[in-house]
Amino acid sequence: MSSENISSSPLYKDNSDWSDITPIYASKDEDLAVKIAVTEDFIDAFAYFRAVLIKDEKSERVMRLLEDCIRLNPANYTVWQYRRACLTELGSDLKKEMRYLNDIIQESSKNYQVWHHRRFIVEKMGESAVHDELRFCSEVIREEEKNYHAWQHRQWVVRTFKVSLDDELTFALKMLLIDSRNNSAYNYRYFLLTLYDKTEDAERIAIEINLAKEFIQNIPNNESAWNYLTGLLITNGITSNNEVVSFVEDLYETTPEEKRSPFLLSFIADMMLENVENQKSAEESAERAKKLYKDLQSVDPVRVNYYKHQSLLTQTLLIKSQTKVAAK
Amino acid sequence: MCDISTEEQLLEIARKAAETGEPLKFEYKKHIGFLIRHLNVFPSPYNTLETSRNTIFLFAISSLDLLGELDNLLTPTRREAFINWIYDLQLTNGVVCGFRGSHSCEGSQYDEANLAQTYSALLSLAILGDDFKRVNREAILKTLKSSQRENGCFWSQGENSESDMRFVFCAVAICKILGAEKEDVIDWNKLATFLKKSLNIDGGLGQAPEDESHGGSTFCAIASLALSNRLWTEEVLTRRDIDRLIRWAIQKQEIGFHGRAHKPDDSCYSFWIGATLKILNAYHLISPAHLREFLMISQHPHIGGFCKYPEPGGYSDILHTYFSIAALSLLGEPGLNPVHPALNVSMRAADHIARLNFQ
Repeated sequence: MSSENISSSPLYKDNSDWSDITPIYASKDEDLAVKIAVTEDFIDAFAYFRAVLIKDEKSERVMRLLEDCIRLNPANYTVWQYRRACLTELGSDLKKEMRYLNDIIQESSKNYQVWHHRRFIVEKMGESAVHDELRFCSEVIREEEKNYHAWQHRQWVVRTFKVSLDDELTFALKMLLIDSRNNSAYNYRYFLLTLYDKTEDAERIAIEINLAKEFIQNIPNNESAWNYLTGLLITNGITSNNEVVSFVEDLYETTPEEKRSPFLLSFIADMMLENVENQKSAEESAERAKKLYKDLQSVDPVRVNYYKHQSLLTQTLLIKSQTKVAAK
Repeated sequence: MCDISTEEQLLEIARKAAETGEPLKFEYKKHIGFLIRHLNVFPSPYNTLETSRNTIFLFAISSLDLLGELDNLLTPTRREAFINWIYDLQLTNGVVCGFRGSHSCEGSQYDEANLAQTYSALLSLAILGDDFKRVNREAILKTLKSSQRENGCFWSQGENSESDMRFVFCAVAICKILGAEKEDVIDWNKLATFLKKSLNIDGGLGQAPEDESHGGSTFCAIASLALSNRLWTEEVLTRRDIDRLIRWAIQKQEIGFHGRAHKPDDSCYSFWIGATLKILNAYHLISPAHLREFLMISQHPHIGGFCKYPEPGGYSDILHTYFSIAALSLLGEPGLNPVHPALNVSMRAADHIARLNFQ
């Protein structure tokens, strides 16, 4: 007799353990403007979820329901929010929750909610979670080198807990050695400099400048490395560092004309503009800048309009700078 | 086009079309079909947007609005039904007031509005020509004020919920739509600090301080400054910052635009980066021909709509469809209605908003 009561349906509405709950289904009106062709198990699970929320039941069976809901829609903010409330009330094993989350993140690593939830758990676990957390981020980042959430999460861990600066710099460097075009890794290095108060540290900045130079030397056509170099110099001006100036000029000289990267030409053009503004051989610098912008128009045709604009700007800056001289 | 088997081939077709001046076909009619089908029923992959119904609804009707087809398609009854459907999602007595994305938490203490859903709902109401009489302006503004964090950013859905540049934009845009810029709602001292700290050394802005520069967050920040008349005053960004930002954005064009350095072109950034440049008075510096043809190869050749990437066998979706159409509007594609780049809605709806009377 009892075997007849065991349903073969995986649906909650056929599950005797849930017979005490009256599911709340979405009405037709709710679907009027936006009707989504959700599956039967989606309708079923979320009808029970809606009922459970009103009842405010926090129990092990609800935890399992939430897992089904997350599987069906990991982007539902309230499901996660309610799971946090349940975890707290039930005093659940947080390590187990982390293992669960590892699996979910593997499947939906670009979902905002899963990372948000993870942060909550790490906050609860405190310092003891840091080691595993950094390792987990490394794993995700190794698989998806530019995963915004994973880098954000790592930054949050490093910002929240005390972590060795050297270890983190090494991690970022490793990622750059795998792919020196990984923009996220450059950003992460500068984040570390900011967090550990090193942005004014001449020695540290010199190391970073050298790093950028090396990556540029290996692959000159690398937007991220050039942007990093420029960014490090920008406060004092990109012509402020003689070593960089001669590095760039050498690179220009030693590279055959047809192989010069647009970033290299742009950087020198920017140096020339800075010279014009600083009234340093203004006329010659302006001439050279205009020549470079002309070259850029043929090597980088998508940005023709921009380079034409920069060329006109050069002319105006020259006039401005000459006016300044005259006014003196 | 049956012999096209790789993404590279498609990109080559776009490049050639741009450079030889033989433009590819804009599948206007197929897009209309795609949008109408979605308004009837969104296919099952949209289940992850079940709690963001206002957003996908907005994408569908805003696309039709930009294509100039909305008025032809909507009977007065259906328009009224849509408006009522949106108002049914309004929450006026919770902790977080405004609009929700679905009814799925109704009746529980977890039933809360969300800034992104509120922004979407208000834009949809404007597109549909509603008079906003039923919008509980006071409750929404009160929510905005209490949603601002100490660091200047905004909670999306009450304390400890998600919080980043997306919700800064939503907050500023809601404030603008409700004509409350001069009221004591947003603390701009705090917000200015947040924005300045989110500006990176490469010239772009991230989702929050020290996050990597990103096309989406850069749009959110720049549009927020424009909507609040703080873009050119140098309170937040200097002229030099703006020049560097323009450079950063211009660098993101390969054929279409991508959102971060060394990422592949993605059709939605045609809007995020394009609108940013438009706001910054620098749209003429892009290559419009390349951008247009990139969008053309991102169209789904059979079912209509636009894909994220131009890949054979890829599927179009409502988000990329809306942003591609909005990007084509920025490009001045014939037959399309103009788009307000900062508010991210047709100029027609933006004018309607500007003339609303809340007293």
